[in-house]
Amino acid sequence: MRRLLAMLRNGWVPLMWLLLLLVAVFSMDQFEGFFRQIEPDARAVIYQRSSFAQLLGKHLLIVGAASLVSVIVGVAAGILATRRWGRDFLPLVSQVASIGQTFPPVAVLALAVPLLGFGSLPTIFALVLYGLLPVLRNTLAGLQDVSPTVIEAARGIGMSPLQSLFKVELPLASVVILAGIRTSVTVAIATAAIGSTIGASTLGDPVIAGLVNGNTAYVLQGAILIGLLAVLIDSLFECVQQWFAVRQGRAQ
Amino acid sequence: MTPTPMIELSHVSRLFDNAVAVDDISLQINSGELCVIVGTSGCGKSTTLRLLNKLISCSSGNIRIDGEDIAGLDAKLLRRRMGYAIQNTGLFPHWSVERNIGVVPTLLGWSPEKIKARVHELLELLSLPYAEFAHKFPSQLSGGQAQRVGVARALAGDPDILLMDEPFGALDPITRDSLQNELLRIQSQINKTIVFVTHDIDEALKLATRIVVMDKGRIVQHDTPANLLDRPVNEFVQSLLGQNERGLKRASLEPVKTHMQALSGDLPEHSVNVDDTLRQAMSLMYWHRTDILCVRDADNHAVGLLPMRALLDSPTA
Amino acid sequence: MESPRSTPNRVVLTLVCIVLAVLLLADFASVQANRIVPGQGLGLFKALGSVWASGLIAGLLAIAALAWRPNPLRYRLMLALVVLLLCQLPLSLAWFIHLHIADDQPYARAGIAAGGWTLLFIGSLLLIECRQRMQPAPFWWRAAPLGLVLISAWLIYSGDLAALSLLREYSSRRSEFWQALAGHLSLVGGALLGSLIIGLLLAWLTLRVPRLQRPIFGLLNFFQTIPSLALFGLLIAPLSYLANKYPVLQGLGIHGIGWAPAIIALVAYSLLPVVRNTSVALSGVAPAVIESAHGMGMSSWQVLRQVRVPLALPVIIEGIRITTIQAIGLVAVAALIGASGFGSFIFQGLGQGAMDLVLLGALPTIFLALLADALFSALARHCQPGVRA
Repeated sequence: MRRLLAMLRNGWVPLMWLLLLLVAVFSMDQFEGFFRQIEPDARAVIYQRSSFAQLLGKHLLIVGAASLVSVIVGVAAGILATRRWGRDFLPLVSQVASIGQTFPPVAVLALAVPLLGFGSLPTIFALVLYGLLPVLRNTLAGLQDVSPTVIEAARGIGMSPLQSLFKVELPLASVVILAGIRTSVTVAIATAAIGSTIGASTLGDPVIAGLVNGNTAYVLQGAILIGLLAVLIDSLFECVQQWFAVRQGRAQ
Repeated sequence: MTPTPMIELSHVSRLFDNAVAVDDISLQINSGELCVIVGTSGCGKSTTLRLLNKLISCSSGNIRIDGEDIAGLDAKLLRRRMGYAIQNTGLFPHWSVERNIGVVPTLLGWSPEKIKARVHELLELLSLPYAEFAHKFPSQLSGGQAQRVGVARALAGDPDILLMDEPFGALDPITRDSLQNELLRIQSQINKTIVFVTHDIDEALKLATRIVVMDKGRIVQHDTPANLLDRPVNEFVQSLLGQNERGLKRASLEPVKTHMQALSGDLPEHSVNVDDTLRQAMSLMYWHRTDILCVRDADNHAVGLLPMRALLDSPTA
Repeated sequence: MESPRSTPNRVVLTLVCIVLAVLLLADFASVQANRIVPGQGLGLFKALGSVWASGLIAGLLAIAALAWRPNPLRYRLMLALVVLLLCQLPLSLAWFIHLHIADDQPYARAGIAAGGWTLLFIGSLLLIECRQRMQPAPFWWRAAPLGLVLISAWLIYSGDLAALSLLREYSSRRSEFWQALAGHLSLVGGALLGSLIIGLLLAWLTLRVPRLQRPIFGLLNFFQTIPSLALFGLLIAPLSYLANKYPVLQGLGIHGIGWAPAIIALVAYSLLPVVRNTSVALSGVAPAVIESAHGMGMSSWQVLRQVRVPLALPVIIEGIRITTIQAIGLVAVAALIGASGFGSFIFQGLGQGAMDLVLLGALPTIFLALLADALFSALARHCQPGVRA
């Protein structure tokens, strides 16, 4: 009962961010006076080229698509590299996963352009490539952390390798894997915003447009929306992680 | 009629990287036996156990369980027919006690009601009240409780055979002792075929109906505890039994009952229980500086006398 | 378990298969008549001539052959071949330029195509794999990255690689390039310095007043969550307001855009790794060690200086490593708000659709990050007390 209450209490945090985000998306015009003070001389002080709701939708679509692929590929690769027949690849894969994270996301984004050109697709590609690494790294760490005794017990009890994987190993690694997904999505939201510079339409658009035209009000609008989105998604992950921990009897 | 062997190994060997872990062993374990495999670490005892449920495959030789050669059996199905309890329990930390115990029945496709009833029954059997323990997670249990749950999980699918790999190895002496007694009590109720691996010779002597002593991958001696103490085949077995302690160990295998004499004259001041061992009787005599004890039954009625001289007699059947 | 040496190394075999397929099917390098016209890709044999190309293929096949039944000696040979493979890369490019671009074509430029990049990438993977399989790895595996850099530097200096598109871009922006490097490094350095001063102070605070741990880490975590573009954007308005209100600040060079918002944001991001690692490292020293140090009569200051800090140093350096790598990437983004650094090439290039210019910004950024990673990892290893593998 106390756990349930604790979860409800945690649920308020994302709800609050969600409300703030929705207010910012749908009633930015209401704050025209405030933005006018920042840019007294500009012709328009509210970004008009596209509605904020549309930009938010596209931003989420890009991040969602990229994260989905990252998670599927990253977790699958992590699983394969820890199975008996994939174990040969484990040292290389784990090294690549850690070295790859040294690459600055913006550089990866820039390098996607010569390969795929401008637009949403290269942005998604770069996000997948980069977002894969934390998922992969944490999947490997999580699966390797499962105690050998537990795996031996699963085998000794008569579980098939797949049953052992899905009923024992993955559930035990889930908290660590989830942390990797959280990192991946956080980076994806930030990098997708920069994706505006390579022609993806995202919440970064007002910021870039504002910087190019010297309109600080646009910059602020974009920045506020990106910030709120990131904080909202992060707090959602916080909730999910808590819930996982509670479900597995790990929470104190 | 000779009993049918439940487990039969013939000329089984296992190599690791060209090193022999198990070297041409043949062994029969009868139904209802509690066979303890004992030896120093690295002698191949755990490997032998793991050959039985195909966690490791034989390099040569064959193993029959209940008359069937396991080489032809599906490893998963074989393992579900055998309970398996190991040191440090191997309990799944993300599942409650109830789900941990119910895992094999679930794999066997039992109905939820039947599983619940079985979990209930097993927890009571292992003196863990259902209401208190069923919903705890392994991290909330003490070492002894966790190991009881481990044994319960091994018994859950009602297997004919129970494999135990140093299950009490990580427990403190008092908890270990009580779990050993518990195992003997449970075994007298359920009468499974148990193969138990340990490095502790006292544990082996206490639990076993027959003991297999292994050294360097080979079986050195396979005998009842009493015979092992009376006639160790070589120095290795002697040293394992502990040279000077052997007499006391032997004495602890014999109950007072088989040495007591009929009542006559006055009752001695100090008493021993009829089900106690000669070792305990000797201890009492030394403690009380007396050479005769009164033997009493569970209701505290005097049933016989035990003079010191009687200890030296061969037991009456 | 069978000994791993008697079975084929499937990783090496897979990698060699991939690189062979790419080399034979895709273009190795390309030539462009000038910056505007599209380039023309050339396959391996056309690009390098049959002798060099066959040698390359033979080398790869030899690696595969050695990987079929590997043993320690064969791993050494494999590693030697991989080192050679990587070191010949810049030479092969110079050879390619020599074959295909005449000296009287000042605007013609050579580009590295899929084959060339794949060879570099897979070559590095082979190096990592061979190194991992040899424990301990012979010291000379370092010849590969070192040789790659030194040979490239020498060929650039001698002018043999001058026709490479990247260098053509560089030569028209020589002074800007070094300015960008200086700007990039000074921003990273400034952020590092700022976050170290504030970070160590905050870490000390969390240890002294444990009650402050939650709010401090909560705040620092919150900063990390905010995307860089947003944080930069959020700082512009307040900073330009302040700069307008207090001309003193303007005199210091503080504006809504430029280095001021960049460095504030960078410090905000950098604090979390520094504070977290320092605090964890200092509080993570085994209590028994601290107790015995006190027991021997050390003062609190001596315990801190002689026991806690030395034991915690590798972890603290790890925090600085993370911070530095993160800052190198973020400075590139900060080019959007007018901070100097390699990011300006990236975004200019993206704006003009000039991919070589993008590369001129992106590659040095990656190189800096890898260099920082190597340096701080080595430093952390060096500071590791006692056991060292």
